[in-house]
Amino acid sequence: MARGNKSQIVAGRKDKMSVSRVLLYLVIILFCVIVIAPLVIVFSSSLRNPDNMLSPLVLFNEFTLESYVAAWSKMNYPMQLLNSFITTAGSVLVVVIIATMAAYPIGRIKAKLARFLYFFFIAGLIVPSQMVIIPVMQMIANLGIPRTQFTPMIMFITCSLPFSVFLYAGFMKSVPVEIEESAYLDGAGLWKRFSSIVFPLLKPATVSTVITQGLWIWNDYFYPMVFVTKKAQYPLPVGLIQFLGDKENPAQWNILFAACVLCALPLIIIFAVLQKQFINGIAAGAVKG
Amino acid sequence: MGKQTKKVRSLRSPVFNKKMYWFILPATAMFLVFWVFPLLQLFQYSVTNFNGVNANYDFVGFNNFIRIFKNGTLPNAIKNTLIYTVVMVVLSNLIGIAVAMLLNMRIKAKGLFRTCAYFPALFSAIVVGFIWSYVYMPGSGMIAGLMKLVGLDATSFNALGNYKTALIAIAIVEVWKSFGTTMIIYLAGLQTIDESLLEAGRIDGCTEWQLIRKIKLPLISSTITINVILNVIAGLKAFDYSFIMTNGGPGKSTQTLMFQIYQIAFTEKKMGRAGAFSVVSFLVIILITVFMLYFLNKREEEA
Amino acid sequence: MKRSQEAAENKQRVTLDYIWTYYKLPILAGVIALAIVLSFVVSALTRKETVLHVMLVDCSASEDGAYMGDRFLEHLELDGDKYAVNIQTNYVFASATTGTLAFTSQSKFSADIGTQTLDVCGMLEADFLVNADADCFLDLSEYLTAEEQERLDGQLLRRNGQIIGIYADDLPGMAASGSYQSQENRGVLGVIYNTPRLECALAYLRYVAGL
Repeated sequence: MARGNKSQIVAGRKDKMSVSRVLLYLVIILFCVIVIAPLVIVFSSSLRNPDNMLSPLVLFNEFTLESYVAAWSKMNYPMQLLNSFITTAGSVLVVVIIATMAAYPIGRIKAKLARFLYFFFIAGLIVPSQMVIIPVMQMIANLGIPRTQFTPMIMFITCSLPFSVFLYAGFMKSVPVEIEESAYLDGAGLWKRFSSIVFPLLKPATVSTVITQGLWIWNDYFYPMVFVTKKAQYPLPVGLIQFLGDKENPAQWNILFAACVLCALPLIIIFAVLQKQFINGIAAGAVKG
Repeated sequence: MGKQTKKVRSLRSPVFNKKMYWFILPATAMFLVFWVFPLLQLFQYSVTNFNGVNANYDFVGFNNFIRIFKNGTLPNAIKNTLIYTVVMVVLSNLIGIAVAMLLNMRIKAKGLFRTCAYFPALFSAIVVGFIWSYVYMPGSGMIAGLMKLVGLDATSFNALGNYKTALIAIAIVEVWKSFGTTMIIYLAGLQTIDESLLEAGRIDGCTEWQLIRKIKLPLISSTITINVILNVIAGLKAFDYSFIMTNGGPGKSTQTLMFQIYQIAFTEKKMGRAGAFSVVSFLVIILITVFMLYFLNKREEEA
Repeated sequence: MKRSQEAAENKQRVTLDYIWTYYKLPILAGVIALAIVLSFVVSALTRKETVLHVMLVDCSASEDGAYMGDRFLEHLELDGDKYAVNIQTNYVFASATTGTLAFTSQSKFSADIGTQTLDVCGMLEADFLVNADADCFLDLSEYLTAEEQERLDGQLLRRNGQIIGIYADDLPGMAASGSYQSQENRGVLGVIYNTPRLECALAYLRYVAGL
């Protein structure tokens, strides 16, 4: 803040509303409009009656919640919302815990083994998750793990590990070693040092992990579709897919759009509320790493 | 002083001792069991003629590998994937840096604009793909409608149906969804730049453009590296939009590496060959990633 | 009197605030863990043995798979509280709009077969033939009696001298749920080669064919 003022004084500019600033605002607003345009169309279409076949370009020519009601009831929204929520929150929780645990030795020990493990995890980033699904299913069946609505969590956690470990390991550098050493001298055990000192200091990276991983886990349809068999256990994205229709029943656009909005709604709400932490979190995690 | 460095360097430091390796256990266990072993199983399939459904398969050596090189699908897939990746990485980073610089200036309602830029990232890939299918739809889609409004002839506009433009069209969709994250990372990087350096530059008489080139860009070079690497990896693995929007068509123009693997595995029912294709794809991705890392790190050191 | 009451209330509020500020995250984590454990317990207690697993792809059913499963259970005269029939109808191999659903469905199909959990599968003829060439389906001629083969004659799909499937569009069981009613893209039902529940699979085919 002080820096900003100082430069204003030093530079001595008086360009509050000059042509260049107006142009700047114009460019930014235009850009934002282009970016949001498709979403606006989705939103306006979702507010129409399911039978309304007018070109969706005609914005906001109706205002009814019928499509939302149809989508809500057909999807069994509350159940799916709960499933999505528990699956995402649970997975993220486990990821944060075991990724920080894994990053602790990797970030601290300088031995070759630690470096190897670091690259070992990062190499997992390169593999796209859908490739290995058949062997994974066989592995899960061989281990005797029942296919419930929480089985996808196993895969969510496994696929999140590479990126999370990468993030945390990078962030460990910014945790000063001296604090841990003095804690050791005070007699704190290894676990105590980790949980009371290192873990809280990793908070920005944790926020970053929660946001990036939570986002893709919430929106993922692949693993739930393959693992979950009962309709009542579906999370939101899977419920969304059923509106895509097939050859016999083509998609009903308005209801589909309403379902899209419903699916993204919780995220939008959370984002709006936690906006500042959101953006700071992603930034801090990545820049430090 | 010397005593402290000795403590950190040696493995026998009482603070950071070998007991810490226990901490990696849960993560490594999960990773090994549910990721590495299945991957090895996939590699095993690549030297068999497993067809995906029937468990009676035989070992066929390197037949699968020879086949995929011979019948030309591999080069096509690699070419498409590379074009897609390049377009996506370049556009995403250019737009990300530009918007980050714009939003870093002293303007009001920064929060609102940043939210707008990040919005597309919140939606699921299916939703995004679907919305953009509609945007690109010839005749009554959003772009066609706008063209009609302005008086342009919209009948020849068919982005997704055209061999040459389909790939770029879906790359643009990926950019639309992901530039928000890129932009935010750049914003953070820009905010670590010391304002006094910029002031010194201005006093010395540099123009804004020179300021950007000589001061800002070099200082955020590590941010650029991270973003480019992450985007490259994401681009090489790209897969969703080929499915959601064009299903590989028209012809073979939007078949990326991963899409091709799916085709071979399920449509042609040759899981073994798909496994071989996967092995080759991983090698390609690893090579490109390592190459980029090396190249960018050198750039970083120079800057 | 009043003041000490107020003081007590205040103390309560301060304690609650303290807990909220410092223990938010562990409380949230605890709640989630509890929810997961509870649902595990509930599903373990109410677990029903799956008697049959059917996957109907591209079937455009107008009825929910759960209803179809319940009716088959009744037909088998099994207790609905202890047994369950799993009929899934929302998978698609030949999607007109998007390929993602096709990919996910194909993955599930292959994975289910790989883990030996799929019994009967129905799909459109073109896909069926591709899978049949990959030795995916059982030869039914060994299991259907001569009389049954006679009655279904026009609807049996033969290949290399084997009967690998039954055309679905005229079967009463399929018509009842509105599945595979299209005449241009005929659906075919078949039994997966490694099904663990052969008898039940055959019973389902007979039930659907009205035998």
